Amino acid sequence: MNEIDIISAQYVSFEGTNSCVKAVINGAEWFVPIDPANRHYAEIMRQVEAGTLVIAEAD
Amino acid sequence: MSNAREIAQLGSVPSGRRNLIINGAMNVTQRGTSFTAPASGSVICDRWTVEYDNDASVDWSQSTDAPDGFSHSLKADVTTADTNLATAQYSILYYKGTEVQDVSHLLYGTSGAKKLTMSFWVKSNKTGTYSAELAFYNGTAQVEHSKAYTINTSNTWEKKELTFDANTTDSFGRAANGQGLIIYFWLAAGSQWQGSPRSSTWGTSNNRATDNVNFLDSTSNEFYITGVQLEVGSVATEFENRSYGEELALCQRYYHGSEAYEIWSGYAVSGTNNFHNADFKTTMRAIPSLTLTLIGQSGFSATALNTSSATKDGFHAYKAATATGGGKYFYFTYTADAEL
Repeated sequence: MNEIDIISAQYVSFEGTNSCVKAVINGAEWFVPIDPANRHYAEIMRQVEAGTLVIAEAD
Repeated sequence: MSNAREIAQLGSVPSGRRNLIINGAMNVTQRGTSFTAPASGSVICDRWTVEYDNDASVDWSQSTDAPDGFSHSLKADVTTADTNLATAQYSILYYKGTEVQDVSHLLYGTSGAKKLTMSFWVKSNKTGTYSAELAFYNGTAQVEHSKAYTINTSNTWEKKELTFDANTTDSFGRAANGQGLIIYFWLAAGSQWQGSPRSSTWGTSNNRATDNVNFLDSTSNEFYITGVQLEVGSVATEFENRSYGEELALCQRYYHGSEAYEIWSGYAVSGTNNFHNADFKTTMRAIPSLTLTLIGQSGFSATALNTSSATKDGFHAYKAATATGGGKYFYFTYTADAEL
């Protein structure tokens, strides 16, 4: 009973390392840290593992 | 209250901070004060979320209709009714939770576990049985403990007091800054949640909202709640009033935005990144998600800002200059979300 609608997700690269994920969540663009304690990142990874979301590579 | 009862209460309750709930008086609304049919999962008052699966529409707002001693309540107003809930459908007002490290003193999962008492004020034209529930993740599953309460009189503020069993079996299964105790206030529940009898203590039964009214069954229905307090022991004490500033600071650990602009200014070289460090208003629960909104710029494009790293204490935003020279700048606002 905890719903987060994630439309898209893409890594952001800084100096050659993925530093965070830029994601459209419930209609707004968020920079999501790569941290499992963050609820957005946890939900992104849950959807990735479920096969319903793919995190695009950084530009 | 008699002197004897007052003295007895003072002797039986812990001193210091009693209420485990943040923003139980519904005074802090950093995301706005009125929400038209918010999506399930939306935070509609700091630390409070709506969760639902049904065919109704409900508007939520901060209201000034409140019992004596309170300034605000949270109001639900049904705008599209659902008179026939499907089996698994439901509507819940959901407290996002304490952190595990803030409830370790409950000694859950040990023989010394403590009872909890929750008190709150409610008002509705829809009288009858409702359900309030504590829950947490024990490392394997979510365990719940549900209690029924009754709104007896239409459109009248009533104070409810519910005491929950100590949980001597299950301990908290998440990290110290992870989600500990959460609260569900059931407003409607399909038959899946209404098995009989209602589960009488901690467990994983679906019989969590037995006999709950269907608050969604009429567009005339309104529900108000405030003064939510969860405290150790079997006695509901008077609501612990905190100053607005104190309550706001507690909420900002989970979410806040910048009201003043964050500004970078200086000499820029075209094609190079320029960084601005921003400190959060308080140390956040976890590294937050960030939104960055560019407000204005000179010597920079109007395209979005980037951030490369954040901590619980702050972040830096950066932007590549499009011109070379002094007096260049960009400024922006942010929101940071580390909610449970």
